[in-house]
Amino acid sequence: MGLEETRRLQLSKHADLKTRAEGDILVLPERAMRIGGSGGEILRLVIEGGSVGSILETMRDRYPDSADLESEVGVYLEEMLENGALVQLDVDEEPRSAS
Amino acid sequence: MKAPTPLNLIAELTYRCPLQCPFCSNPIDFAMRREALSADDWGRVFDQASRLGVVHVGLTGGEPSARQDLEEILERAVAADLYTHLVTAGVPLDAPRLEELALLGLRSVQISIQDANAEASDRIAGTESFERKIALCEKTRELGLALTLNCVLHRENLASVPDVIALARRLNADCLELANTQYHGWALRNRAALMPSREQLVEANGAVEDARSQAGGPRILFALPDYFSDRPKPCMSGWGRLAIVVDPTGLVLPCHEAATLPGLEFWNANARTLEECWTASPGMQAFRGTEWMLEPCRSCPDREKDFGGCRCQAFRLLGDARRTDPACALSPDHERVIVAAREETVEKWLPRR
Repeated sequence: MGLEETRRLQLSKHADLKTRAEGDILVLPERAMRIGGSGGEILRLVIEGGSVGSILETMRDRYPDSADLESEVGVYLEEMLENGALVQLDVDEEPRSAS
Repeated sequence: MKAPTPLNLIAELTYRCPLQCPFCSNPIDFAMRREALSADDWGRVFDQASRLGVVHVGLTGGEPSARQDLEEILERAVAADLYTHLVTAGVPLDAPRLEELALLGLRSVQISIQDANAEASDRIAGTESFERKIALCEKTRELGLALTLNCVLHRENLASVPDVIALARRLNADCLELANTQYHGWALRNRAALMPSREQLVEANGAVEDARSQAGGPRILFALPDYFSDRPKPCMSGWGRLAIVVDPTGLVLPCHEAATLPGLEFWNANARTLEECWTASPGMQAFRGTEWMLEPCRSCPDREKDFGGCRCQAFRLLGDARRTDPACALSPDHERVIVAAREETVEKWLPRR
């Protein structure tokens, strides 16, 4: 995984995560998309704060039998960074409080 | 088939636009189409869209800021709990008005330029506008809104791609959309004047790849145009699947050009609810899913990925909207219609009027 476990992420101020009966929806400036699998769960852990490592730890606790969990979570976080849904915080930066 | 839950609403507020871009994809006869939805009507559409499951609205046109009641329309979209995205040419919008829109809850802005410098951009736009566009980009960032810089590409400006990327970096854009011309409306009429060469596209692609490999900078969206691809794009992510278009006349459509397809009946948001128009209008149902497909689409393993491409392109180029989009190399018409068009050349385009 390319992301260091000490790195902290947050939902971009330009993105929204919406919960609907049919599942989670990620809303970005140019579009909205349904989030499959545990994507919404991972994004909520990002919103709650904590490092990449702590997100991985929580997911490991929840899904102890998933063999590729670390790589899948890592790939997903990188994909979300790539599409602008997530941003990396600087080492000393405080997460933006939810509005 | 049963209508899926849509996520996006594309609200075409007007066909009016001060620019005269030769690649405009508005219908050729847009001047004949009456602007029929008031701010109240749009508010009702937004409320109904939200109840239907829509979470995002693109306020677009034409040029949406040509409407004097854009503020009121935006307020209604925000009140309906929609994420609001403004797609603008940057004129006649100005900084104070953009600031007002931001205060009312606007979240993101896409601003189009026609080239990387004033002389070239203004020549393509047919209007002195570049400097205003750049000032508006800077204001967008100052206001803390998401900024997408958009540049439609064609033969005249593909060589400027490195400069457009540099400009997007300087403006600190979140996203740069390098959109190869799609040949609909006026763009199809000007196809022979706009068609790039494969060499130009390869060079532009190299510049994009180079920029993507560098740290920082905007996300860059760039895909080979239909005429140089082997497979069609999943137009609108599928007909009547994720996005609802409401055009300035109030017609509820799967894409902004579908109203020009003959024989399809679409319903109007001023006469029925958005849900009725989305789920049950004959036009909206015509190409949903895969049941309507002819061969080679019908048995193609990619039919759920590209949805047979663009129905409007199939109609414009083949005269039958049910046929496989000829952009697909599996289409029996691909060589005759698409490959041959790459060689067309005329010097002058016709400005949008």
